[in-house]
Amino acid sequence: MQFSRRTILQGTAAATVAGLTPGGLSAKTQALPLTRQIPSTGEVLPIVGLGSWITFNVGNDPKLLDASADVIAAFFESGGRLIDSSPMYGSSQATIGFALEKLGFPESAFSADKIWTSSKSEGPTQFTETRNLWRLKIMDLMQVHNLLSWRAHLEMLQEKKARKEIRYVGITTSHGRRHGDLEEIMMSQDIDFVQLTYNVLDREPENRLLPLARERGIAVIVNRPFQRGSLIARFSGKPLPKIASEIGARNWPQLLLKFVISHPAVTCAIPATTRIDHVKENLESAAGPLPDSTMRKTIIDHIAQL
Amino acid sequence: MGDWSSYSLSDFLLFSPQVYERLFVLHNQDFWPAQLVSLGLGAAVLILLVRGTPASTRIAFLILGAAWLVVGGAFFLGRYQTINWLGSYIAPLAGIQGALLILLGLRGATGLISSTNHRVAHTIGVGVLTSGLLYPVIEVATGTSMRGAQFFGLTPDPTAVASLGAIALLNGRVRLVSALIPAMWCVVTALTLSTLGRSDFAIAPVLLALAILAIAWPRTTHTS
Repeated sequence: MQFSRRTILQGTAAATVAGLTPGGLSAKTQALPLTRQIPSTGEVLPIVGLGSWITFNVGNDPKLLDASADVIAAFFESGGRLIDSSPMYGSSQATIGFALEKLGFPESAFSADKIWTSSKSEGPTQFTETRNLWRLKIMDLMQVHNLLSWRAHLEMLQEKKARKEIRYVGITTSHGRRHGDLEEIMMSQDIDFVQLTYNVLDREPENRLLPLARERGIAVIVNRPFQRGSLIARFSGKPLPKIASEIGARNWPQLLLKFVISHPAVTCAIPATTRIDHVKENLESAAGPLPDSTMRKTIIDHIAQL
Repeated sequence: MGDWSSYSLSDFLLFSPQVYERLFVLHNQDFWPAQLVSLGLGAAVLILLVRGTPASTRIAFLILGAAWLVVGGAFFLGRYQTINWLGSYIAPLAGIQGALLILLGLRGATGLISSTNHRVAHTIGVGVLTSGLLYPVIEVATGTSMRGAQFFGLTPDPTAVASLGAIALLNGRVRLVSALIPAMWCVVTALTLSTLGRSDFAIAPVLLALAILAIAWPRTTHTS
């Protein structure tokens, strides 16, 4: 978990990526995902990360734990860094911790998790539990989940950041909840990250939150880029717009993801998946060209006609 | 959780259909051959309740109560909680249900309706109880694999259904209180399976509806 190594890794647009599987170095050449800077430090992150809602909640099922570790290995091999979870997501944190240990704690990993409790006193305890489940000493990013008791938890997280137990502080919401409150927090609090829902149909953040994030120098993590898969199901079988080939989008998931990460305020989108081919496909979306503002409008217009 | 109104059912569905099915596969693997024992005990409950003597019905409810304790500890705490934090809240409810049924058995508050005077309610009660014991067969018929099927006394759905069938045979008002937790679980499991897109989501609520009919059926006092 060294910043210098990360910077070297992400600073290269295309490179030979060393395999991170315990089996050894299986070098292969592939395009690395594009990166964006975290405004508060300048550290760069690949613009596609990995969510864990539902997908890594596999309990203590040994077969599914190994399958999840394989997905996470493929994520790192493809140049991904940020993995996001929450105490709300069942055993997902423990699954990620299992995978990180199995993979030898890849240095490029960027750990993002949340505090999810209405109790102020439970916040520090939950942080310790989360860190233990990830099997890490330092968490890269801790966020207040869905603005729950955010004042108390944000204060606690800022203290932990000052003590270097965490590197970044953020706050999250999902599915358009409490955007007004989120805007106030972004205006008044010293936070590094904000996480919100943004996709081709849920574009309300374009009006205030995304411009505000740029203005205030706050990194943006986008959850539900596929509306939990419903967008893929909805558009599957429908024709792609002609510009899809121009930006290297071979299918709807890639087009939908390219739309999200092409917004200049977005730092990282975190689609979740249980499939290795999908995780590779997602990171491939971030390696190729992205739609410009004209193309983004074309995508919106095309989808409106479907 | 200050903003409950903004959450939907799917927000609390933390796991995939594959994970949920494998939960029962692993449970069956780990407990084999306890399924044979629990089914044997379930059959004993049916026989004891059909026999209907004060002693036999007390034993039947003691077995049912023990089944809930096993489900609460081994399933909700030992298994379900690993994929859903709600498991730690549901387990005590299963424990309460188990304690309640055991208390009924110990106190002898298990007077049953007569199969002749309450033929419809009695028939439905026995039918629902039998369905709880045959739950794996019903599940397989609706597309679940036998490896991932649920068994009375080990997992909640058949235990709740069989309990409702037995409770429907009770004569006293205690049947209303006794049915609450099993009925709640039938609703929870129906919502869970429905949200997961499972074809067997209707089994428990249909049997619950039948049990409610039998439980609500008027009890008349016959004096000779």
